[in-house]
Amino acid sequence: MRLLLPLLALLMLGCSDKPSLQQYFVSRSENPQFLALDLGPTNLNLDKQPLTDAQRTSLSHLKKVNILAYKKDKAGEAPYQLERRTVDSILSDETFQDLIRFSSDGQGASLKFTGDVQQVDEFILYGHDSRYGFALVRILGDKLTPTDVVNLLDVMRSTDFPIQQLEPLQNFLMTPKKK
Amino acid sequence: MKRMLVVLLLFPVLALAQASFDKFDGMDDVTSVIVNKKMFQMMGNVKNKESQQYLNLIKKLDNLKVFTTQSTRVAGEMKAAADKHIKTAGLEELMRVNDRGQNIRIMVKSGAGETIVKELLMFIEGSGKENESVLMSLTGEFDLNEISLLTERMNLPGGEQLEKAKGKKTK
Repeated sequence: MRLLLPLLALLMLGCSDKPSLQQYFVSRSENPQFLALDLGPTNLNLDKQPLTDAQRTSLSHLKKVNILAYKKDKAGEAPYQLERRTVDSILSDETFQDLIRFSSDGQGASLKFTGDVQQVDEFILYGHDSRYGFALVRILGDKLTPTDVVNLLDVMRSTDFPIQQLEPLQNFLMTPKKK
Repeated sequence: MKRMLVVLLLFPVLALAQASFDKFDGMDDVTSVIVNKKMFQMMGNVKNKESQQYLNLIKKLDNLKVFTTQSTRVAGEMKAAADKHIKTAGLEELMRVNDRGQNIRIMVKSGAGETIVKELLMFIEGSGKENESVLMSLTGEFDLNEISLLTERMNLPGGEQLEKAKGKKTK
């Protein structure tokens, strides 16, 4: 027991200097190496679509989507790795529960969530490619259920998900490096 | 206190069993997909047209790990890791097939009941032009007869062989 207290204190100290995902998003949003995009349900343009009641309810459980992308350019490997490590360390916290992880040569993606299986607070999608950079997507919900997610995916599929909203992201990541 | 000690002693053993194949995750020349229990729980909670049988099966799954490689060196390591895991975790061979030059082994850890399985391990040794080796581990507590539902839905390797295997176990 006497040992436990200092250990606990140490543990808490260790945690406090780790920035939250929110802090990371905010601190990088002004950085020219990054692109930040915030989408709310209103600017997803989905409300004009003919939706079923179930789909509408599911949409109301979606608060917003935040995207943060890092482009790897002439700055090269070192800063990319540094940012990746920072993100890895933030996401290694156990509040972020693993759902799926994919990895292949130089590429990877993972899907995590916070909250409860029946009521998700947030989904975090993290993808990286050693050629282009990485992207973090936070899907923030309000009592978002797995059924909602499936409904929302259905909506996107059936209504030509407004890809133009994501165009800046695509341009940002995919444009060839300037020499 | 005593119980604590047992837990502490057991912990590395349990951790080891879990981590048998983790070294392949993120390794060069390896493509890996890892699906966790929470994902299965979420999928099992989706209320839509999915068949009840499928949803029930999904909820009984713990972990799915699939590693594929085209490197002969890594395939060798996978084979060694699989052999080691078969011994330490006490898996039994369910079947061994040689199909179109591919060597396929399916191992299981039996649970309660004839066709109930706690772990299914499959190793496909690649050869020929594509030379793709696959190591797949599925844990949980599920009926071997239901597994084809999963291989179909998720496009998993070896579905055809598993279909044959389920007949074998019931005999």
